[in-house]
Amino acid sequence: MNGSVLSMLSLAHGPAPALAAAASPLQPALFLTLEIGAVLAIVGMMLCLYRMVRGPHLADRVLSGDTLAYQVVGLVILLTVRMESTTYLDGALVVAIIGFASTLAFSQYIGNLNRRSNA
Amino acid sequence: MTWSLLGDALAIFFALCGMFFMFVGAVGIVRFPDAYNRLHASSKCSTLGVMGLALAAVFHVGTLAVTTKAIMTIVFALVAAPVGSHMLAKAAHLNGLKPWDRQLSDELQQDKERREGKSPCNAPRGMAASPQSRPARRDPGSDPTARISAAV
Amino acid sequence: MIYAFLLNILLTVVYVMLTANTSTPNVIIGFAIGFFVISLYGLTRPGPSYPGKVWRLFHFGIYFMKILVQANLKIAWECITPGLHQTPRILRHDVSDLNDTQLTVLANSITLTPGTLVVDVSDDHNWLYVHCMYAQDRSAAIAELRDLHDRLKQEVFS
Repeated sequence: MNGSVLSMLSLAHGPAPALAAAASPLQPALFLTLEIGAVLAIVGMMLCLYRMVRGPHLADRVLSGDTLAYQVVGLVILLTVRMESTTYLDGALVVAIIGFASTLAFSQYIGNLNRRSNA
Repeated sequence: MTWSLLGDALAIFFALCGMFFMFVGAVGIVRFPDAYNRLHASSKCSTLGVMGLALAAVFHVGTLAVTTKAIMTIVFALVAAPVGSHMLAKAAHLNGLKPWDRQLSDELQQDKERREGKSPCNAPRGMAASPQSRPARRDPGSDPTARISAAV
Repeated sequence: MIYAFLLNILLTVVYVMLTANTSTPNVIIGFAIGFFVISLYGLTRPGPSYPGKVWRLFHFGIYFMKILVQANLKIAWECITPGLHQTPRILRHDVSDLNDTQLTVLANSITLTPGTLVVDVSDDHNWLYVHCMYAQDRSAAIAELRDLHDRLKQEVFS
């Protein structure tokens, strides 16, 4: 666990003790998959940030923020699988809801912007 | 033992699929030409990516609490991603987002102008001159002019 | 009708909460009891039977997952091949035969099908404006939308 990508994101170290006895022989492969997935999610977040900085229109920035929220959701679910813990999934749901609400708020803002400038 | 082996194999498969599609969505956001095409990548890929990762969590952990929360996350992603992209596309079109140069036609813009009674010189650049810009003429059954004028 | 299936799920949840046993066999028993009760009630009503409706709903679910994976594979193909192959259009699609619930479900599922994205709904709820990514041929793109529309009307809201 030391030196892996997911360990930098979590305060807890090592697998959960409850399920450690029932570990299947595929567990190292699964953990390797999770590390690759975390790297992919972080690269994807960087791509979203690039579009957020670069975006020619306000809608581009907002949609990159939406996708960034979903990448964070994916990262938190990876952490759930790695830690075999229930608590992280609540975090994933909360991030998804906040991302959705912020998208709705920003799209209302974009729509109202036009009306105000026309009036 | 067999069950945990099968669950881990399925978890590896679904986690790989989910992360691949999420990454593809992020690449699509950078690569695609205008905001509508980027919304395609954003809504579809984040939905399937979250779905795959939640299924991976279900198959690896497998307790009732994780299953319930994963189903809630999947249902929320299925509802929220299309609604958010729909609202964003509507707001962007309302705000006059300039479409891609190679967009063939914009019938929403035509209907808006027809409803407001504007002259066609207010059409966005390069759109009205295209020969394919009035495809509604081909099928007279779908011409909305009658219904709109009746509503007004 | 999808409302009967939602009622079935609600009955399952009520059964599981009343028996206070959340194991998988108990959930399946609760679902089976709800299914049986709603089927019996459906015998007294005209129209298609409840198991047939659930089968059609299941069929639509399989179809929907298939087109969702297809949409993602299309975007992945577009991302990994060099150059841009899109021929986008914003089309109008006639939805005057749907009520508001059906329109919401149709708009959400159109957004998740390959190459289509709902942009706007007209004020009188008669037209749906759909951004199609690959719409070189307008009638083919409209035919795909019409296929999803008919399947939704027949298999979910029948």
